[in-house]
Amino acid sequence: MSNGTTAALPARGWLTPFNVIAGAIIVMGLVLTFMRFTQGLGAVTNLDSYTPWGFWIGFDLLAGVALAAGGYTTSAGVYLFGMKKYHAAVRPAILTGFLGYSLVVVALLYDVGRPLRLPYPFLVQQGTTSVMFEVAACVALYLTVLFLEFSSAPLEWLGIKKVARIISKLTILLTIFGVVLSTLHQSSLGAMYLMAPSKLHPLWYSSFMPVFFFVSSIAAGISMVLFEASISHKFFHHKMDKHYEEASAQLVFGFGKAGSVVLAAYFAIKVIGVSLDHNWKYLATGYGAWFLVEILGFVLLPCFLYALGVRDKNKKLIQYTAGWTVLGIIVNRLNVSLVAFNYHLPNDLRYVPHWMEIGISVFLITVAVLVFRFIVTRMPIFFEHPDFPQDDH
Amino acid sequence: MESMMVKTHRRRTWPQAAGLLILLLIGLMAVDLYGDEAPGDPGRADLITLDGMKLLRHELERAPVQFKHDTHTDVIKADGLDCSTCHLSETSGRLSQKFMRLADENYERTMEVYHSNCIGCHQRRLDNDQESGPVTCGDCHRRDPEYTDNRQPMGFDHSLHARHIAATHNKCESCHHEILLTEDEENEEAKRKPSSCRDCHLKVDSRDVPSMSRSAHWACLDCHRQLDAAGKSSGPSRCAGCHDAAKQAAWKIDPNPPRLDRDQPDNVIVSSGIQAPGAHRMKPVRFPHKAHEGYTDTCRACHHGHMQSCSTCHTLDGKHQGAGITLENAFHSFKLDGTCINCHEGSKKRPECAGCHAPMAQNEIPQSACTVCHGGDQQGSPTPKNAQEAEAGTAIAAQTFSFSPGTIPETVLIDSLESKYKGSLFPHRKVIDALLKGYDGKPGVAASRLAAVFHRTNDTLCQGCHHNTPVGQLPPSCTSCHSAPFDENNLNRPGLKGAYHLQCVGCHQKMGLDNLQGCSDCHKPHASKE
Amino acid sequence: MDRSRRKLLKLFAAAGATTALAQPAQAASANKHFDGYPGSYGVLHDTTRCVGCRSCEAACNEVNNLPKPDKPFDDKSVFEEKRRTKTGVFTVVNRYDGVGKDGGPVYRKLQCNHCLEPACGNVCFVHAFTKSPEGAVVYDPSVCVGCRYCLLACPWSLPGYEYDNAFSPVVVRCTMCYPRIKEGKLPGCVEACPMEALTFGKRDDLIKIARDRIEKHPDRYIDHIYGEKEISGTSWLYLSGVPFDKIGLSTHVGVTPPPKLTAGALGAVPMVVGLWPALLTGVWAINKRKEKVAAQEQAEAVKTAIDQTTTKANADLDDYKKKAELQKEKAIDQAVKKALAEAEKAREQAEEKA
Repeated sequence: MSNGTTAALPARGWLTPFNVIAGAIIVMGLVLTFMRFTQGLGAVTNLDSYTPWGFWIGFDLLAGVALAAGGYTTSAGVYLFGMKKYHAAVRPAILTGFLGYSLVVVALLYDVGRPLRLPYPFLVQQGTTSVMFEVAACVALYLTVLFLEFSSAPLEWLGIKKVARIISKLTILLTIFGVVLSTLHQSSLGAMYLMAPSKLHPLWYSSFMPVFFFVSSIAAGISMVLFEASISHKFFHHKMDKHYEEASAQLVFGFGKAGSVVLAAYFAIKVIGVSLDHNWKYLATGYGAWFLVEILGFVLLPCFLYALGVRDKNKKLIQYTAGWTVLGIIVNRLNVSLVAFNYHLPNDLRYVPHWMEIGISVFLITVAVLVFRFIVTRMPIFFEHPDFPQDDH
Repeated sequence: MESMMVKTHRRRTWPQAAGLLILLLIGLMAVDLYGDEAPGDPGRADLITLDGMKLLRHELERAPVQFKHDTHTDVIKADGLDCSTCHLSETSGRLSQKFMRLADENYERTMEVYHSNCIGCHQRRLDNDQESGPVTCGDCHRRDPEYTDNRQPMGFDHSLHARHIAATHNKCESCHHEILLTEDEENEEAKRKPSSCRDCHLKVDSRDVPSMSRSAHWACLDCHRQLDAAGKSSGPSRCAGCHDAAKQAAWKIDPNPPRLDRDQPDNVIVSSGIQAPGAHRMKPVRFPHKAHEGYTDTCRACHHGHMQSCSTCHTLDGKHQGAGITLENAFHSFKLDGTCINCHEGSKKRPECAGCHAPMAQNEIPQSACTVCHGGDQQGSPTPKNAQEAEAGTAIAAQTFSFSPGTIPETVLIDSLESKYKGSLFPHRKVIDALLKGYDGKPGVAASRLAAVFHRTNDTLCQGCHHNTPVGQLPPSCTSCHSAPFDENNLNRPGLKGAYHLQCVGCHQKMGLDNLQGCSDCHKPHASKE
Repeated sequence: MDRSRRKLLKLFAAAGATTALAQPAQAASANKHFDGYPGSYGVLHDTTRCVGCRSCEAACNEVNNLPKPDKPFDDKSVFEEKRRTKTGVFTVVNRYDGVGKDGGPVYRKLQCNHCLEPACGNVCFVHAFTKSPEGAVVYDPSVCVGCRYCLLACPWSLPGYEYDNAFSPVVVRCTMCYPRIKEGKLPGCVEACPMEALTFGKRDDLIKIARDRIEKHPDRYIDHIYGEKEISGTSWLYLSGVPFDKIGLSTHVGVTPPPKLTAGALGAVPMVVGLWPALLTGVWAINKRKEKVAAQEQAEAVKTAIDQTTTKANADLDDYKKKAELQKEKAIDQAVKKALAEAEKAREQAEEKA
């Protein structure tokens, strides 16, 4: 903890353990990046033609996008559903969302074979029958929306008052637009795997995958906001104003309650999914046990723990549960993309991530964390800018 | 303060509970992933499923017991005991085939017989520190059967029958009891013609006659046991001896068993049996019965259980007693077992035949083939037993093949497609010789009566390769019809390259020749190509 | 060859003309069923005929100008492992040991199946795959971003990817020799096959041929044409003497046309775009209205309270005033009375004195 605190205080010098480790990761990441872009995907990944989507898609894209859902869930809750009292939580959530989505796009630059052609689906030729086209369009638009939503912070920081006020006026419109786009692409990430009915294990494959992905993204967003708030509180406590602190304390119980409800709904539709496809028989297999771990251990358990935490006003329990749920979402997305995918293949043909793939993901996350630190230590994220008191929308 | 303590306590238990749950599920998963590996169990031939109470119309309360009969026989023998340890004697002196009882009175009684005797014996042996069986419910009544049942059906074939004739010194009555029992004059017929056991002994017990299975176990086992007791050589008395596949395969086979003598005809006129003046019917078939006796292992192969003529049950309009199968289908159906056609069709799959026959359409009878069987205009009754003229004058005439030198080329150079490879020198004469005289120890066409009957002329043989060539004509070149592949106007006709390769490679494969391993076995590469 | 080429071209033109009218698969509405372009071509692979000579592999390598492999094409040791398409390899023949009717090996060629409604084409977000009216699924590497969704979506994982190519990797797959077909030539592998284990022709004809073979040789073939209905049909068809899953052709791919799989999800997009903003604006408006009403009510309550206080105060004041006046009058009365009484008294006293 002291490490983090000192790390957040540049005044005490740069040679903190946090900075040393982050520096090492960045050096490694740069080397791996060089390898990736000079020797090809084969040099740093274990991807093959049976498993064309590996750790980067499963973790960086699927889990990343789900966990970046805090932006739209929080802003929708505060601005649209009238939960004004959590107002101060919006900015950190939007920032996390913006950085998360940026990280996803950067990760995609690593993953696609020809990164410079990433704008092709918009500029050169449109494959409108593809779910991925929809995902790409929504992610691109949503990134823009997030950027605009987030931009008020740097604008205030830089003192560009006029533009900041215009952005502030657009809040409701941007929020609605953000929710629409998020609904679409969160669900479409699940829809992408609809194309592989014979490759994805029946317990995970369902025609409801888009709904599963969407609903779980709400739970992920809620949990990520809670998780991130508790982490931030540890490291950026000094940057928080009274406003934020108050909202944050209330937020834990409000969001905990919401998390419990959403997870309960998610559990229900997962059970419906299993029974509609008559998949009960698979529960008695090895994959079935793992499925039960996911759905009991990472859905039903946190659902229960959130409820317990809210009832007992146990802030710590809710925060740990949030962390556990975040882990659960990652497990779910990795299950769909890696564990249950290609379940029919013999073991020697199955994919296991190369350490360098994980290395690059860690590198990207480290960069995102550093950017986050840069921003929150400077811009009005955890506090209100004195010149821009938050007006009611 | 107190509430704080509660909280701390809870904080410790929940992660622990979650961890425990996950460990448990992972354990389950591991058990499942590695648990279902089936052991390499070849199965047992001596398994008896103890579910006889079902006959008392009583559902079993627990899973039926798999009983290993041979294991028990061996133990009893080792103890110097005999079958009567478990099987009671009936009034006739025979041993009951039931366990420790003569009949099933009721459910409770039968259950009691098993429970007290099985568990009693097992317990006694346990008390005496002897190798023993289970004494608890679940060890006998297992829901997942411990062994797979691999019991093979058992029946006599000509060879086994001949061995028993020799062993009993031609005393048919030792087994065929009706000969022994029938003393009156009217049944003289039956006395002379012992029928198949299955004629009377059906699959299940009938009112007066025990099932085939029960009577066979009495007849065979009693005899074997008596011989055993007398110290004479005898047949098996353990289950596996008769019902185990490996044991069956190891039996001594007499390749040329003597013909069964039950007054059957050498040749049979097969007809519908209906004499309708003026009606045009298929000409009857003169069927060389004696010749066919050698082609089957048993009489049952054609005659089911009894030995009547086919038309007794199979009528032209398919009566109930013939299972609805018409006389025509009984002889000609490709789908039914034991029909003439099916047996003949099957013989085309022998390697020495398949080279030519495999590419031809299956299950089609060319019109010209009808008269091969239905060709004669013979009338009258079956030839008497052991008629001197047996086959010579009456049986269907067989072709003898001869290709005098010069009628066919010694070799043919096939080089019309030369490109990557050089042409192939086809040893035409050698191939004909192999077909005629046989190869690799397999018989040639000339040695097979079936082949000799159905390949009516020399040209028939040529048609194996030179298909569509009219009889008596010099075969045209393959290029007359085959050219570029995939002709839209003749979808099924291969191109020239395909025609050659399909014919040559296909024939070599089907005849079991492995002398074609690569292109260079037929073709020499061009000199230019290295 | 010349004659057949002309004929092929003619057929090709006819096929093109008829299909120009037909809409592509994706445009078909819910109840319509795309049966493939009429007159499109395909290849029938009869695995009972294949002898594993690898002539097709060699021919494919040659006509596509691919790099020579490490092991020559007559090296049978490659059958020791199951191979697949990869960089420089568009097709391979694999050997499946011990699965044949006589316990022998069965060989099967593996390449793109050229589906009637290709999953790869459906998922490509730059539309790099086109099902041509001639039957080939044509790939345009010039727009390919390299997302590899096509590899994921293909039920047989048939496309390969050049993972070791750092700068211009492309998807590796059989082209069905589309350029050669357009020239009226046969696909390279088909032309090379000595056993006619590969038959080229119109897909409809190939199905007839396949049925005819099954009909005539019921013992040789499984009664199924693989690719006739699999994922709604493929241009590459297979016949086999053993169950197809024993020769590596999945029997779990189903018969659903791939576009159907995501049709529901994609169909929901306009609904979400149309309904969500209205719904969310509604929710926002309701909340806004709630706040406004609350504010109004509060204001009213305050006003009422103030009014009430004021009225009461005024009333009190009036009361007080009245009381004060009464008291005043009383006081005056008393004072007057007192004065009168005193005056009377004074007069009486004065009278007594006087």
